[in-house]
Amino acid sequence: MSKIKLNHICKIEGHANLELEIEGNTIKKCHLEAAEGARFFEGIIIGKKYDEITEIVSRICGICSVGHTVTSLKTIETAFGINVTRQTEVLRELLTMGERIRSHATHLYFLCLPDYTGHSSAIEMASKYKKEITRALNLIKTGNKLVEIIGGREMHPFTSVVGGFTRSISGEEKNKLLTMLKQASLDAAKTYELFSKIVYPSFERYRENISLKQFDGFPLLEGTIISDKGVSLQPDKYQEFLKESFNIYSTSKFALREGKEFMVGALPRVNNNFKLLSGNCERLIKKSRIRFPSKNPFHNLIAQSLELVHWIEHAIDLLSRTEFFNEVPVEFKPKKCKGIAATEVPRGILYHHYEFDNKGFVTKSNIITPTVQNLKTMEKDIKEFVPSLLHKKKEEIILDIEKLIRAYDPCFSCSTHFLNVNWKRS
Amino acid sequence: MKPKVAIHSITGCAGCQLTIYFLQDHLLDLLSKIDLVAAPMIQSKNSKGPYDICFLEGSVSSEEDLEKAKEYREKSTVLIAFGTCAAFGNMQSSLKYHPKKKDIPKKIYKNVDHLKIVESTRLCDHIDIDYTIPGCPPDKNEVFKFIKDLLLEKKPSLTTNPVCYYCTLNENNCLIEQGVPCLGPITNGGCKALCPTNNHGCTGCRGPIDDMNYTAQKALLKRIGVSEEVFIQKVQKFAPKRFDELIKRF
Repeated sequence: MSKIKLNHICKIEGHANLELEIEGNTIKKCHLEAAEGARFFEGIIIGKKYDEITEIVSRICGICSVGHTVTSLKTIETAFGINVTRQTEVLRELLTMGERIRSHATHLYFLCLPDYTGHSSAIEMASKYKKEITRALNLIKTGNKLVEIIGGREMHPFTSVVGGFTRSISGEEKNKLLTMLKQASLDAAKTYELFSKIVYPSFERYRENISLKQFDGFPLLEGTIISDKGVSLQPDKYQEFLKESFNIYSTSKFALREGKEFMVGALPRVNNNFKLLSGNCERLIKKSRIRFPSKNPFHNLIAQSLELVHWIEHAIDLLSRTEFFNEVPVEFKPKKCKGIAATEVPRGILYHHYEFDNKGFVTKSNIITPTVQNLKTMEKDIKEFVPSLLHKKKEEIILDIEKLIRAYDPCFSCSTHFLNVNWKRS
Repeated sequence: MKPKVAIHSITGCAGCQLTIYFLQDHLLDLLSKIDLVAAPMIQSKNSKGPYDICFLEGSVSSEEDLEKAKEYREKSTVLIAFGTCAAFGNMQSSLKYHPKKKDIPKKIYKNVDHLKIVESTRLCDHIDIDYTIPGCPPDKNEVFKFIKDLLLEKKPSLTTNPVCYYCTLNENNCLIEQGVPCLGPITNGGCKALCPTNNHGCTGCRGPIDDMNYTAQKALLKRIGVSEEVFIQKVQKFAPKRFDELIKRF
């Protein structure tokens, strides 16, 4: 029996280990374990006032802090029945697009591309692949600028508050963003060309694709939960189909649907909604050899590059169509209530669920992050993928497994914050 | 010889190290002046030391975290507690002060007695620190200037003035006077009063200044309707233990 233990897998967000035991051609054990210490965010916000919690849950994750911020605010607003203005919605969509751009660009170029060029890091690539790295930095800068100008800073944005924003954006800021986005749209198209041409391992396995479906476009901040197996549910019914469980080897939980694994993220979003992608995406797909829906998890990278093209185009459109004014957040009164929101964040669907007492203090909370939903699928993929690699050298097998894990864009900072699920629901 | 630099992390959100990778226009230039020997988040080949400079983000939240923190300390000439988790423990360390903290472990252990739960703590509770850059996340300009100073072998200077000082320089109208809760009077202002400048009260993410006037701050917020309960929630968010230590001086 041979054993592979990858301690602290590099080039992912957060810390994780993988333990594999192989006997002959079969995988006896495959444990993907989060190696983060527990932070108990869902416990910390119990007893906190409604306007204190968004800032806390934002800290679950740096790279998707916009996702947690916006989802948290939407959950609170759903609970209290607050209707925000269209401008607030637009600003939050733009914030989310900014994060999508910087997160995908960071993942594609900094965490994944070096594996396919045979380098240790993007930095090591910089001398030979200057064009690509400059392009990556430009995309990241554009996404970050959107988040910074609208949200106040690149990480843990603070201007978006319950009921609205503390400030709007000026005409000058809008023009600056438009100029950057227009340049970035060329970079995004080149990113698709690059990632759609990479030769990925030809590994295909059907897994249920779960994403949101928005009636008016490619999903972002709202919609119904759908799957290619026919699920169609409102987000507040998420507990009816998502079951979370523990594994003794990890500080993270797993989420399953009817006892089975499924996938969330860019690939399921594109698989379920590719007809809603922008015209430029459609043209790019036609020109390439890639077709959706795809069963190859490595195509998550191609799906991310398509989303870059789509959201940059969409951000330009949304920004140029909107005139921004100074507004004050909508007024409301806290009450005893419950709120649930589901949004699409870079790595898949994010659920926040809070309950409040009549003064607006949290009595219960539950947060399910995308990586928790993908963990079982990743394990299953590794189990099925590894036997096809066994003729290779150990280092090559390890690199291929790492490539597969990275393709999912897992975030272990996000996945490790719970451990208190029964307590919350008691 | 270029200095050997490491960017390491223990339990946290990884946002602090991203502020370095997101230096964007300055990134390639900066990287040409150092030898980035370890940065597991963005590279596969990582040296186990020794390091001339080590940025360490995150709080000690597991036994493994503690081992790693000690190991990095031993191997580094200069070790920087990078960001509010490392410097002050951040949100996860506030569990200790949670009114329901007794219920939490009981409920948790019922399910997960296989996990060794460790109370989240600051780096300085365990190891010696050479510099502390607070902030959740740290301020990019401050980080960039800090690294430049280190490379030039100048003693880096970090802000000790409160947020109010920079609000005055920025000619902001005082938010507390407009009824907005703000911790600017007692919070370290290395962010140059970023939140108040964007019309949002300071929430204290850089931790308290050493000579804070806690009583006066509490009275100020009480005057605009912040209850004692909510005031405590506010000050215990980012740097609960530091507040505890400073309050005991009163």
